[in-house]
Amino acid sequence: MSRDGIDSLASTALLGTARATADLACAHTAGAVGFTDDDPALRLLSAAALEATFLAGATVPVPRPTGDVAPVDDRPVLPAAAAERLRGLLTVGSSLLDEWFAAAARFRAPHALVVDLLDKALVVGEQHRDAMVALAGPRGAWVAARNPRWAPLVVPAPSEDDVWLHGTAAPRRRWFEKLREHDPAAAVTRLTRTWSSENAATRQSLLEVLGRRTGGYDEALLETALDDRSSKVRETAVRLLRRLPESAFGRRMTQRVHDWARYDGATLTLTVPDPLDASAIRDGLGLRLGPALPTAAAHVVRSLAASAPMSAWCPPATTPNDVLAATVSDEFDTALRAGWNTAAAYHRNAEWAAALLRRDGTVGAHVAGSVPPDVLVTHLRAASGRTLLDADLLGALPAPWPLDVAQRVLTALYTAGAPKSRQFRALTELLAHRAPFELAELCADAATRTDDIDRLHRFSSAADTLTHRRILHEELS
Amino acid sequence: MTTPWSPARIAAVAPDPSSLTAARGLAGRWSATGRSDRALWGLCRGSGSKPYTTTVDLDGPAYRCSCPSRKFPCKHALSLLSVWSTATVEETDEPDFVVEWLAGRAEKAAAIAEATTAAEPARTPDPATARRRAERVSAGLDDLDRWLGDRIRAGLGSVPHNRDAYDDIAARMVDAQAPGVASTLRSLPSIVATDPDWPARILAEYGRLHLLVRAYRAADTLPEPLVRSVHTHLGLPTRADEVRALPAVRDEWHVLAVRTTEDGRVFTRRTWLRGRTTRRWATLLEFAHGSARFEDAAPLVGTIVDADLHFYPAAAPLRALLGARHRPPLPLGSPPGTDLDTALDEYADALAADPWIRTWPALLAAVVPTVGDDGWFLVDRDGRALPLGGESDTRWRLLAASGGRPVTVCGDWDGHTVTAVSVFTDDEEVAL
Repeated sequence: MSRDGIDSLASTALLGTARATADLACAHTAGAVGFTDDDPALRLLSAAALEATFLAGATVPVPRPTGDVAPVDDRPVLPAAAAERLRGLLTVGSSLLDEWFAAAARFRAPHALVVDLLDKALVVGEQHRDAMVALAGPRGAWVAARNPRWAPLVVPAPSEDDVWLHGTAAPRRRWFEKLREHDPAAAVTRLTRTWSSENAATRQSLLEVLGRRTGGYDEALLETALDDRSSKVRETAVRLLRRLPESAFGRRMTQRVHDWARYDGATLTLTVPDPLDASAIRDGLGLRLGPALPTAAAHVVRSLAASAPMSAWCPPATTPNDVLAATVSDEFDTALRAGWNTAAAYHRNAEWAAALLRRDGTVGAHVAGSVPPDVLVTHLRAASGRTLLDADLLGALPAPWPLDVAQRVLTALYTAGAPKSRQFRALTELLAHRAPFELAELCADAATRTDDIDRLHRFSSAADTLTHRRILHEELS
Repeated sequence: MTTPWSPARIAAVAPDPSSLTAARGLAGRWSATGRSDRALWGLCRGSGSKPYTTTVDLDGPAYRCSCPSRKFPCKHALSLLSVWSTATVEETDEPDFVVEWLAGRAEKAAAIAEATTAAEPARTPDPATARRRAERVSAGLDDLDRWLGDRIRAGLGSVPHNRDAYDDIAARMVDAQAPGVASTLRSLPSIVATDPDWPARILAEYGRLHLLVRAYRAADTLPEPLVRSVHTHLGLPTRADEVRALPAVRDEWHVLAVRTTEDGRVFTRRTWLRGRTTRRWATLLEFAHGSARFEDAAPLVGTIVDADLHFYPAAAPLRALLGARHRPPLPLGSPPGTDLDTALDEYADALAADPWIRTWPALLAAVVPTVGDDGWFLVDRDGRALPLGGESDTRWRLLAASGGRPVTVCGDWDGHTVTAVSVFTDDEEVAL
């Protein structure tokens, strides 16, 4: 509908009727009525009122194409109560978010939640971003692709390599991480192709990405990186190669163990060449990774133990237990143990991890993760009091804990000292997040019975968390 | 036989999310639960020795519980409703405490109704007061008309459009007891500041006010409903008891949207209703001061309420008060929308009856929201479209709800753009 009439009236109004005369004839409504006002200003106002009202009532639809349609998401919709729960958890940044996302993986978000999820995903940390984007699903991706505000959430397709070829460092790394997750071998192939033209900082940053889903396909590039100009890149390459016991690097290390270590009955003797040859230096045996040790040779022994495949240490017909029982000189004892711990964690070697636990009574958090859960449970059942409250071992035991273990931990906490301490708090929180839900009542009981206000706090908050978790899972069932 | 409440409906009556969470924890603590056509009751084991007695009047709805909670409804009432929705609660005879409470409620309601009717004559305003008021309004509007004429004579390009220029005349309108005019005037400086095409809009606004002045002066010659509309636009109040005394329109009202807005600590809740048989639009407006706690629960979006509505007298009646409810609400499913032309016609009819209205509700069926370089649109299946206005966030939510598929959109049409307030898809209804 033409707006010439109202625009003409407006330009007269802009100049003022004292100076200009309105041309009322050009309005759509010119012939409709006679205006009774004598004053030209008021006559203009009457004409404008009529014309504006006419225009508002005369709007007609305009032709427009409809766009494409969002792909269908077959997953069942998140139950309403669970969606509400998620809002609450996100608002407070709850520690239960990981558990919630793991339990909700088979659902899609209701469409009403998609915009909130995308907005929130922009501001939450890396930790939950992918889970939120996954929950928003294809509908979320479809909407995000249309709004520049959500561009950072759009997953770059590995086939679209513009970002990789021409992008800046951060988007390139993100693209590379996605590809690594999607197709780890393809990722290392892409990196190999541009390796020589990347600067040191980029080589270092991208090489670290290979720390996820490390495999045999990475070996060739890592070998190249051992000769890198940058010491940081060389160091990263060594760390990554240590995870590949089947590699040439592993075989070289095995050879060194055979050359340098000698079993003499129950005694293990190590002879470290001084100086190291070029090949040993290239393989990172001269690197001092970790806390200081008394001698340079001890550093080499620790690196060797951390780098060599664990089977290298076991002569035929011996087990890790036998090797660990061997006597080692004071100089190398600590170094060897530290190196073996590292290797057991890197290789996720359950046999060695269990053997280390058996010998030492405890292991660090990273080794504990490799101890088979049933071994861990047996070990914890045999422990009591202070030795039971081992945050590293308990932290490695996945939820839900056997009820008796959870009860024993609660009992130990009931009498444990320093309920104000950070450690006590960490343990009650661990209990609250890992114990079976039935423990809630016992926790609440413990809270009412204790005469210590801090303990009361911790136990009742653990009971709340357990109840909260039970409801959370019920809502998602 | 009444149907159990859906979780959404229970959530809608909860005072806050924490009450809902608390209510979930009580599911296993109920005993002696029962229900009748009009009520639901049960005993909930609490921390004390005596269980709490909880009753829900399903028609109200209203809640009573013997617990000390000051939240309303309390977690026990919410839990009881949830228990009903998830498990079966047997239909039995109402125990005495239920019968007594419901009888008490009915008595109180009757007493209030009687008091309203009885007080009616006493509340009729004094004619002398009314006349003085009319004189004040009339004098104020004369000033306004002079002010408008002067500014048009001098030229909109040469007079100031800052806040001060409009605040003076707006204050004069408040004195003249025409607050509706005052708020229009106060909204004008921002149009000048933000819209490059402001002269035409400002001129139209001035014209609208001039027309209002003329209509007020010519009230004797206008039909009564139009005079009431003029008064409403000026901001003269209409008493609720007068509205309630008017004949009711009974229909099965589709509850299409509820929106609560805040302006200077005054919360306004607006509910969009459309009659199933009459096809009439109605909006309920409620106000609360300080916090968003309204006296009554709003009808739940996505339900059908069989009820009486009392419309405020107007040339194009829209605002209404909810009167008697005849049956418990039923789920709505997908509401029957109209095509674009019907919505535009309804708007044009309303505008013809009352040229001062700014928006009119619309329920557009099978439209696809689209966004492109030339803006937002709602496109129907024939590829005809109306521009989509409103806040950016609202439009993205609408787009997310539709995913490029046709949806039914409830909103307001102002002659230029649609502002969406809720959307109905095949499987969800979404408040925007």
